[in-house]
Amino acid sequence: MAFSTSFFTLDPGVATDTSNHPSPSDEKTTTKMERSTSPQTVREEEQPAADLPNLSAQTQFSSSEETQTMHPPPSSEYGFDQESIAGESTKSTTSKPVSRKKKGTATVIKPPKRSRPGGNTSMGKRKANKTAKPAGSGAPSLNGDFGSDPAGGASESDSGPYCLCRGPDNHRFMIACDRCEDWFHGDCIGMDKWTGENLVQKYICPNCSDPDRGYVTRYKKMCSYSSCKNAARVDHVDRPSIFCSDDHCQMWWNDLVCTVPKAPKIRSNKPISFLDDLTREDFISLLDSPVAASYYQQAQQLTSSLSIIPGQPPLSLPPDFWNNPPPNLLTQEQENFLSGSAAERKQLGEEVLLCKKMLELIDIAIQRRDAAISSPSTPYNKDVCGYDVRLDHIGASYQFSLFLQTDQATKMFKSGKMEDMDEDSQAKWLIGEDAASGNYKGGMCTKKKCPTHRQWRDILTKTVKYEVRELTRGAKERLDGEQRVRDAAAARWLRKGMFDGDSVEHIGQVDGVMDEDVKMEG
Amino acid sequence: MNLLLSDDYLLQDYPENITNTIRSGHSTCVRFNRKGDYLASGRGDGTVVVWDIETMGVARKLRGHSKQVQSLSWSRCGRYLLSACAGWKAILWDLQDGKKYREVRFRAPVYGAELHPWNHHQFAAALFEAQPVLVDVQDRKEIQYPLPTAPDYDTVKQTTTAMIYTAQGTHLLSGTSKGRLNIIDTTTQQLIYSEKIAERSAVLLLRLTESGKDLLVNSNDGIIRTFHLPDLSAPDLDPDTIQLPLEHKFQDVVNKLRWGHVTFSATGEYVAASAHNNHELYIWERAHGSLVRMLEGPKEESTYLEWHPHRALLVACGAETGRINIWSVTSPQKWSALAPDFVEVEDNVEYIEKEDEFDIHPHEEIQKRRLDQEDEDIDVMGVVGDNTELEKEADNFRMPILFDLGESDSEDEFINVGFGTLRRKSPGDQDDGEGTGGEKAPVKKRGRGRKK
Repeated sequence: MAFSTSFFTLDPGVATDTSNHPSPSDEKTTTKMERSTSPQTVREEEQPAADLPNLSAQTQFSSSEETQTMHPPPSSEYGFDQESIAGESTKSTTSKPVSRKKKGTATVIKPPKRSRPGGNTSMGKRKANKTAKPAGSGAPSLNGDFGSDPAGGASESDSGPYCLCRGPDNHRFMIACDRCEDWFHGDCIGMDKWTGENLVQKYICPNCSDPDRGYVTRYKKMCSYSSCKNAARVDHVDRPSIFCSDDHCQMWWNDLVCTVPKAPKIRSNKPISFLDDLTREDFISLLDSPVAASYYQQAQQLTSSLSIIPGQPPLSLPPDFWNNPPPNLLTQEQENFLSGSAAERKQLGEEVLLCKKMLELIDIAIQRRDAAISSPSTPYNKDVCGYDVRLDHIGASYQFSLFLQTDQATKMFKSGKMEDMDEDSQAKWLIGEDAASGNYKGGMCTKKKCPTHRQWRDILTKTVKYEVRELTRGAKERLDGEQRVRDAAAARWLRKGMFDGDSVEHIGQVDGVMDEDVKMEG
Repeated sequence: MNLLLSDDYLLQDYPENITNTIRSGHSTCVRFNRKGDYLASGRGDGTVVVWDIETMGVARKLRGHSKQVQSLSWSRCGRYLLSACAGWKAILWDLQDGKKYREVRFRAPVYGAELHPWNHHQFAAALFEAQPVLVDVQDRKEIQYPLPTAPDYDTVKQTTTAMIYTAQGTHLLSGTSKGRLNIIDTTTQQLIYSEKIAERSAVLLLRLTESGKDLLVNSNDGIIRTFHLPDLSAPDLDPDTIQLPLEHKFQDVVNKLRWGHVTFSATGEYVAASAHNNHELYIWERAHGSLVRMLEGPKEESTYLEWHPHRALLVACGAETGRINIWSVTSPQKWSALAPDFVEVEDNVEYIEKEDEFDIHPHEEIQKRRLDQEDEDIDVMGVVGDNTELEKEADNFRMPILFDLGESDSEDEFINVGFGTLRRKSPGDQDDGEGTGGEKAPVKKRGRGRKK
């Protein structure tokens, strides 16, 4: 039977497992049961014990616990240490099977081509062996750009001053600070290589650290199996777990069961509580029972209502929040603002399209000029101006939009060619001296080295491109504004959700008394 | 400072020292609005910055031109601003929201564009190597009327280089590249008068006093001329009888300086000019036609010069750095204005008090005094200004306050380049980096302090 709750804790790994309860696990576990030997194998969380890629995890840097005392997995209350979950934890899930290059790791298994510890994907940066250093390590989320890094093996050492000691890079283990992007020797900051490679999520150097403002080094949560120092698999999308591997999970459960005596103890006095008489068999059947399942479900409801989703920062929105926002989330004023802003953005988008058309028209005009110059019977040489009257409205959006609606324009865009205009049409475009000068033939200005229209092509193109930039900038500003409004509304919703009606939610009934005690005034 | 405290503001007609320098990009032209509380400056990268004179801060930044701004012109109410750029465009901005109100594209770079003094839907533009136009922007699709450059009998090829409206807006004055001064009727677009005022040297700039009776002409030959303008809006105007009597010619015969930019003073009593290749500003007095002052200050040539409409305040753009230097009168504080019987003394004076100095006044006297004061009518609604006519204008436009801090900064001079090194911003370094919205991520190296 598929089972996956944890009695004592809200094991995040376990919690989410109910949702993806792969049935194959059934078989697996049953087989496990048969194969198991003395410590009765207890079911672990029901994952197919497939090979899982190691993914970066997060949370607390918990110190290893002793084997004796069977602690429940450290994350007993959902308080992942706030420090660790907040902030950068989002990096985890989607990202990075980034493996970092190690610096000067001549001794490591892989040959000099940048030893990539297979599958090890901690977030800390390793010293890439080559120059790509600052450029390569630009943003913390550089995804395995392995190929692009020069394949400089492990043999070079860089002497640019690094670290607190301002020394060279001498094939020692180094780790980069995520804030100042300087590299620090492991020895100088007191971090050993293993920790740095496996357990560091984001390293902040001593210079940049600022505990008051939260700029501290963040480590990943270690496997809850005591004595195991690997990173826990907390933020795997499907099967997050507080253990590093399924084996450890299994072993933990085994150990737990072992603490329960096999046979009932003979005792003289009455048992204090039902727990005293528990045997292993009883325990296992309890874990399997529907009672446990219901407790698990309640726990899950609680966590989801608190918006604490394992593997994601607490108090964050579920990913599809905005697809179906709860009703009355946004006030009327906000709705108006958002719709107004969206309408403005749409309009800006249309203007950008208009500008694209302008650029197209410029190209057509250039082609026409070139054709006129290169045609065999041409009277023009390459000094001819080439400015066409139909380019008159480029740069002025409204007038251009009017121009686009004329037949002439539609024909021109459809065919992609600019034809010579006849006299009458040209006369409509030209006024005053321009008409009298006779420079314009077929709509095109044919003056040589015309001073008036000098560099018309560059000027017009620049104008249009500038316009496009400004429009996109405006659209982005509006989008940012909308985002701010939405975020604020979501935050309000979260807060209200958590402290609804100023009462404390409690699960089930522990004692009849508790109800009154716990409900707060107001 | 409170006007009452400085009683010598009346005495000083022209400024003496640079009191402020403001900077935003490389400014190429400046213009005061009619009231004198805002200064518009155009930059080399096409942005128009509107400064608030009282706080010397940026009130608005208007982006729309891709090339250098050549000229600026305010509407009468102060709400509309016309800017012309070398990118063949003129934009009429509505300062209520900072948006483009009207956009007009020409076929040539625009030298200068001036708004009609009363109607903000009409303006005149002088184009480079092309015929000047009168533009009507009542509709969004503008109507352009070409204007004559020279009378028919003058066959020399010339272009119009400067244009302004008369005070009433009924006529346009224009100067050509061959030294002609024309008067054009705006309603008929006909040339009604033309006179050659400078031999074969281009007219660079035309300016009028507030009353519209005096004309200032700067030309390429280094002579600044002032004329008296007849009243052109008289209904019985006969074009043949128009006369433009020359009043003064200002020039520097010693150095044969050519003048970059000229302007009248607030009242028209003085003429100020900036010279090419010279760091000083010259101020002449029109009563006698004599040079009264040479202002020093910036270590660079000044390009554009503007005098405040009614204060003794001069504003000039530096040619090399693009800074805007402001000359004004610094009046020493006079505390005696605070209390009438407060006298400023040079040395300490021993005061010997009278017999009844510290007597408490009889109660009735105090009472009486208080009652009298209560009966006084105190004027709380009146505004004290130095030019009350302007205050009474009905169409007072107040520019709304900008809440976006990012826009209101004049820019940093220094940019972060790499790790710990700064470099001074160079003029070529324009807003390209910030325009595309790529703010944060790639800018890790060039982190400019953007307060968004």
